[in-house]
Amino acid sequence: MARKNRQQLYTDAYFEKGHWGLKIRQTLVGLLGWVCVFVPIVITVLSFWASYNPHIIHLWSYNEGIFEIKFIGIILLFCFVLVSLFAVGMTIIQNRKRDRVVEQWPTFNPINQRKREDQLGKFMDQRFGDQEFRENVRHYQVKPEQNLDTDQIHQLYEQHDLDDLDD
Amino acid sequence: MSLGQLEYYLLWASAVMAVIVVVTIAIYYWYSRKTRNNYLENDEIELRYFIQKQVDFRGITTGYECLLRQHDWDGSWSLPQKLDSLPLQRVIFLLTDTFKSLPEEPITLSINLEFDQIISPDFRYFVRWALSRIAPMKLAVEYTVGPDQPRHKRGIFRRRIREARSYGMQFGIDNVGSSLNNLKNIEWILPEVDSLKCSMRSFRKTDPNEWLDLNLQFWNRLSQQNHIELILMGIENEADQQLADQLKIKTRQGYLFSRPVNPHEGSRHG
Repeated sequence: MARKNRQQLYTDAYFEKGHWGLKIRQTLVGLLGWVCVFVPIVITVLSFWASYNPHIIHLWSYNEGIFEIKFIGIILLFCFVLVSLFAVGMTIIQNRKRDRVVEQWPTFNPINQRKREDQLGKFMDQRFGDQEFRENVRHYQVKPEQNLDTDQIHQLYEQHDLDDLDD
Repeated sequence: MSLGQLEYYLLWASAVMAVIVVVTIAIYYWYSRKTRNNYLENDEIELRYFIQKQVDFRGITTGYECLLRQHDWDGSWSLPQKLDSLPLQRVIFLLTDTFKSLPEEPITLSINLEFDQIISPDFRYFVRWALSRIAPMKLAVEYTVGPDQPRHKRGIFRRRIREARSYGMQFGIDNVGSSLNNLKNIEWILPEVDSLKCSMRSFRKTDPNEWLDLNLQFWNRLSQQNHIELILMGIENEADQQLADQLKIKTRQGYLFSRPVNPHEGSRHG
């Protein structure tokens, strides 16, 4: 049932029936692309390895190249260490904060929240009748002018300076 | 610079960063620590706020002071030990409980907190939450100044009070007495004070020759000069009441009006 209702939001001729020319051409281009990724990696790794091990095939052996690889390796390792320290440290602090603050206290402003509830209550009372009436009425027809405008609640909060999101 | 030198510098930079991270974590853990004694955190100890009425000069109720009591094994209620170990979260639930037992009127509920509770980082969350839960009632936090308040923490205390007052909390000093030290101990916080409480007990002379550094009239004048509300508590008889009338002290509290009562029973307790 859910499968039937799912809306198709895109089309791709590659995965449809037929279009053999397109399929062959795009597969070849895809494969060529991956070759272009792996070949330089293999060449670089083999050349670097060969500078330490004579049994490995020797593709190139420029000193500048080897130096460059070592240099980039050190810089990347340093970045990895820094990022890991930062991420682990912040995670530990964040867990502590969740435990001691976020799960213990409302971190939004509950005073304004309460005022918003009150304002919303008043607004609904004015428009649709008081709470008791609203909760007990069996049949109610909403008049066209009673519909809510776009952003009406948001504007109501703004009028009373209760919109905490713009702080 | 050679590759070896670069490696050496970066290694040191990583070590410094590691130290900074560890120190930051340690500082945060220290900052968010719980107090060492956690006696009243124990849920098995049943606590409740007893309430004592505060009235104005016409006898109309203006608020209640909430006095913490602990339910003992013999069914009686007594003042608990280690009041500063009461977690602020628990105060919220106790306050809400008291609030529910009272008619919803814009009166003031006053509670007593200790120095450490006020300077704790949770205090601002506490004030906002408490205010929103007991509205339309107002919240007054009272603090009894002791002789051993740490001077170096006065700045943070003042900051916490200032922030809490910006949310609408009232701040009061409880039980100022008749000695000059009482004045010296509170002078630094006076600009942030909304109410001062004097107890008749501190100003009653048993011996006519007894010397009082400060009398009630002094506190009355000081309050007027600083736009502070003076509350006279410990009013036990008509004579005390007349003195309050004479000094034009508006807010009053004492056994003459009501003893502290259990809001759930409505019966009178000592």
